[in-house]
Amino acid sequence: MNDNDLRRHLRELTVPGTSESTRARARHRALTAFQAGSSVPPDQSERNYFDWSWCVALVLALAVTLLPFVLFPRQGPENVADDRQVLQQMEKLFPRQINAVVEENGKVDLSIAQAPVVGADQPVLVVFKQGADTIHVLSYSGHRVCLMLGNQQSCFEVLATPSGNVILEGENKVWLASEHPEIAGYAVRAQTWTKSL
Amino acid sequence: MRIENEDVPEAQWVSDAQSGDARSFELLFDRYYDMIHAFAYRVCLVDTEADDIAQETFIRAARGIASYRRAASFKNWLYRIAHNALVDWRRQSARQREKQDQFSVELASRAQARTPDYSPLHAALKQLSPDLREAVALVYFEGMNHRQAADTMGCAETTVSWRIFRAKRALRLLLEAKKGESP
Repeated sequence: MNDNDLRRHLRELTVPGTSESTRARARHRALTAFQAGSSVPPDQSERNYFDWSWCVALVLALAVTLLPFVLFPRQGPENVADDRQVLQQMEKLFPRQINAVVEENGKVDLSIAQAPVVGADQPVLVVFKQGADTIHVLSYSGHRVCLMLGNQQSCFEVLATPSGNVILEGENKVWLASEHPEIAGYAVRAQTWTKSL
Repeated sequence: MRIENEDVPEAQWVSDAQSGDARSFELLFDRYYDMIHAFAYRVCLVDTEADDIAQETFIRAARGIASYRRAASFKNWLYRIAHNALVDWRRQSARQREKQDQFSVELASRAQARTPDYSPLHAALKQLSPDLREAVALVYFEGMNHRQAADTMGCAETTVSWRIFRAKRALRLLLEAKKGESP
């Protein structure tokens, strides 16, 4: 049973509806509590962040941000500080929309959610290495990432554990980063970091 | 745009309810009662208990709405209250089980009889601990990311990730075992 099968199974759970009398009783009791409680005016007004004009600015900013990676591909050993900086820059451009940043030999691909609902989770760096080919995946715990490893597409969910380990959960297999696994011939290393660093 | 349009009346309802307008609170109740009831059911898996937890959630929301500061969305604020109500329900259930141990089989069978879903999925979810079920409910059914679920459950996001991982692994095993049992 793969992840999609499980999701399909979960959607099959039926929730019994509530009777009108149960709902009416709950409403009555909540309203009684509401009228008994004291209410004060709110101290802050709601802000609306949505503005279509940011699209143009984002495209320009993205081009400027990605240019150095295209012109000067990363050489030598991986640097976590660089990765952190890349993720932070992307987060500034697409607040709470980054699913993953995949950097392969200097070429950067972004996986962005349509709505700003993801991105606030524990950041995780996963590095795939095969000879001179190095792929850096910057993502967040709980996010699903798909990328080409060699000639095959690999999808997995990135999960950080409370002890700081990273689990990569594929369709039918689980890899623990602490065991230095190999996926499709690529050696895998992974680590979590705090956003404030 | 859709979200923005939906949020405009809600923000107004919240403001008005905070100013003491009962009708606005009633509108919020009507918008979110089914959602909170479904969440409670997916965690406790007993419909009568879900009724009580949903009711308790809105009573607490009614008492506390003045203190809601919009750091989280109103919906997530309600989930947080529902989570606390569920924690209390678990404590209460554990105490009741200790006191009424001799009636536990009877109580369990009565509770089961009022729950219409006897699917293998229901049975498998029942095998999970409430913590794991709550993580599954928030992430898979309510569509939260691990950060939001962690905020609701008052724990670290890595804890949510770990619970989801354990829950998925257990559910896969349980559901595959059930599949193997069926003729």
